[in-house]
Amino acid sequence: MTPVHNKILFIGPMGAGKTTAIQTLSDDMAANTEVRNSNRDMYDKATTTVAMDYGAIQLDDEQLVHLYGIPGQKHFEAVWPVIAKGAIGAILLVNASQPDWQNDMLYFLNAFPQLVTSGSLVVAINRGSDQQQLQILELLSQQNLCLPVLLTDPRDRGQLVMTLEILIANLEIETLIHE
Amino acid sequence: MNNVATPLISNTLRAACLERIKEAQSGSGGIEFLLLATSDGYSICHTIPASQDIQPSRLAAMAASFSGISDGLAANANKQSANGSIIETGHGLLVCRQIKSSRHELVLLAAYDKSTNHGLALWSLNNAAKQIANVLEHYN
Repeated sequence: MTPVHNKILFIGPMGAGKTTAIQTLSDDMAANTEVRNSNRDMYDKATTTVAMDYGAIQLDDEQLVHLYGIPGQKHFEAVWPVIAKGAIGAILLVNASQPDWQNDMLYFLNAFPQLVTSGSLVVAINRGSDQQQLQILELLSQQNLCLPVLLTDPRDRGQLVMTLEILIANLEIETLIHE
Repeated sequence: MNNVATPLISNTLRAACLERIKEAQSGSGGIEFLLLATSDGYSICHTIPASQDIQPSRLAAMAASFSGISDGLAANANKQSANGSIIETGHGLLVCRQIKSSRHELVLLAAYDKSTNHGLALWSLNNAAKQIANVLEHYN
């Protein structure tokens, strides 16, 4: 059987763990577009993604998932729709150890309204606690949103696969509801 | 839009780069504007006329993305890293040239009018890039 090809997006601010997550998940070496970070005042990280990350994972015999990561810095916002084209869903990664991470999450939810309103998005909290997970659920509820929120370590393949499978299961349910 | 200044680029260096791109534009016909950005997408200087409806910060980010993609494409095609890339449009060429020194990684973007051919565009942009590279060697 020819596998179904799906495109999933990794979104979130710089330093959330998108590049790491795609490298961890990808069956083969992931492609990235990292360059030297010239703005260390804003985020103390040696490199930053400027265009996209790309990897792929064969989830099962029937499904090959293409993984695309956006450049997280807000000045790349014009590039986001280019990378997002054709994506059926997204994992929004946020790093709970960063200042203002909750507002960052809201910013990215607003930046991808179609994925949010269609329920095609999962929030994955990196370096977060159970309490922070509850805070996010509450914050989403205040926005009238009901999205899965998971604690996810972008270095842990098992956790990432589970997050991906939850997103895909959610997408299948949403499709059934709207059929 | 993020307008945070780039701390690794001093004002002296920024001014010297602006001077060089102005010279490059005036010394070569067909250049509509030049824009110099960091490889992570921050505008350093440009010659975009204020009358044009173009956002330099947006263009700087997209030029950096384009160069990043070019590098990735070159590496995945076993061509090592990219030196530059060209976009052909119905209204003229857009050419990106990467400039690297020990301290800085920059992208120089040039927009050419419809009458400028590939050879002339590459020749003039290479000259401008050499001038910028010289500046990078002598300033912070």
